[in-house]
Amino acid sequence: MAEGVILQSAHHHQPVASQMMPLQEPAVAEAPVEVEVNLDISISNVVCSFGTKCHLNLKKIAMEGSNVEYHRQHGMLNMRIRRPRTTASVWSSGKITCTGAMSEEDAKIAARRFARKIQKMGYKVKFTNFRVVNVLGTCSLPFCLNIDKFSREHKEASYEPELHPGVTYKIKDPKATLKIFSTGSITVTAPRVSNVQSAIEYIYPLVVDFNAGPRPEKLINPEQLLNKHKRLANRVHVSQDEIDQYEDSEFDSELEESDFDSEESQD
Amino acid sequence: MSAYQLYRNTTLGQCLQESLDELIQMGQITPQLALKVLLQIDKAINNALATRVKSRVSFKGKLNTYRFCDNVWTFVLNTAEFKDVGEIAKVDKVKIVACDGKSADK
Repeated sequence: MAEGVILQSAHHHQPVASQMMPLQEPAVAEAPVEVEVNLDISISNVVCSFGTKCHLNLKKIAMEGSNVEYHRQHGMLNMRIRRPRTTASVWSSGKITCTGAMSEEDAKIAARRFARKIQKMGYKVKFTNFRVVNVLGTCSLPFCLNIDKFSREHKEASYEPELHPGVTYKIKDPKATLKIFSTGSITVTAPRVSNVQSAIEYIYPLVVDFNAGPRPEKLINPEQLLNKHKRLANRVHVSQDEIDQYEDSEFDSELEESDFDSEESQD
Repeated sequence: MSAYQLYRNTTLGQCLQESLDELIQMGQITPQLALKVLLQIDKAINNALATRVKSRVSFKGKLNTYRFCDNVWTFVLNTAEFKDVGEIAKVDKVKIVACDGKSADK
């Protein structure tokens, strides 16, 4: 699974007694122990869309632009940029959907880059109506789950093992859809990154009751680690926490600036 | 029944076109005949490459740009290496224009 943005970890504390303790280390001997759980939520995909308020001649853009694919049957053009690594689907009405970004800021930057690319081809592009449509985040709990029992206890959960191996849990506030798997992985799709965080915080106490033992140790695939670094390098807006996150593991020195897109034409 | 006119822009195709132009200049053939010749060569090259060529060349390089329009792929590769049996050709920049082989001339 691709790792992208690591959100500020969701903190959960389970008070054993009714005393409220500060969130520090639970090493105080005489008071009841509070367990602090750190969950890493990684955002793997942010989908956004915007309009250009002008009609686009897709055929011309396909002939003149670089890194484009024109599918006449669907009336749609695919355009990709390297940094941030995103793909845009362009319609002749001027509507553009941009996918593959790792954070909301990156999505906006990517969307503006696409608009700029099209503007350079001579169209009067206006960056209108930018909205983030969907955010996909994943979270991996340190323990396995008994989803069968979970789905029976909760009415909002929908579980059809013959269709999909996960339980689909929809929540109204914050608006989000969670897919909960027996391995302890949870994926969340929501209209905003903050919703993803709140959704995990909401579901954690509900799910922790159905703990089915610790998950087996995951062997680190060296290729996966390299991909993780490459994906980080493909991001434009990287917060300091994320840089710290990757600080201990070696950064691949082969990835130079020259590998990535510059504003100049590539033809 | 029309074959890809892709091969007119090759060394062979260009030489032929220049020769035909010369003959037209000297009045020895009509422009119509030249056109017929070009159509014939399109058919012949497409046919020959499809049936009489068995060798394969593989190439690897860094993709600079790509384009897909009207079922034609155009790639620009940097630092590409073309490998044939026993022969290797290295090049800094190459433009590849590719038409679909299966949906060609019946």
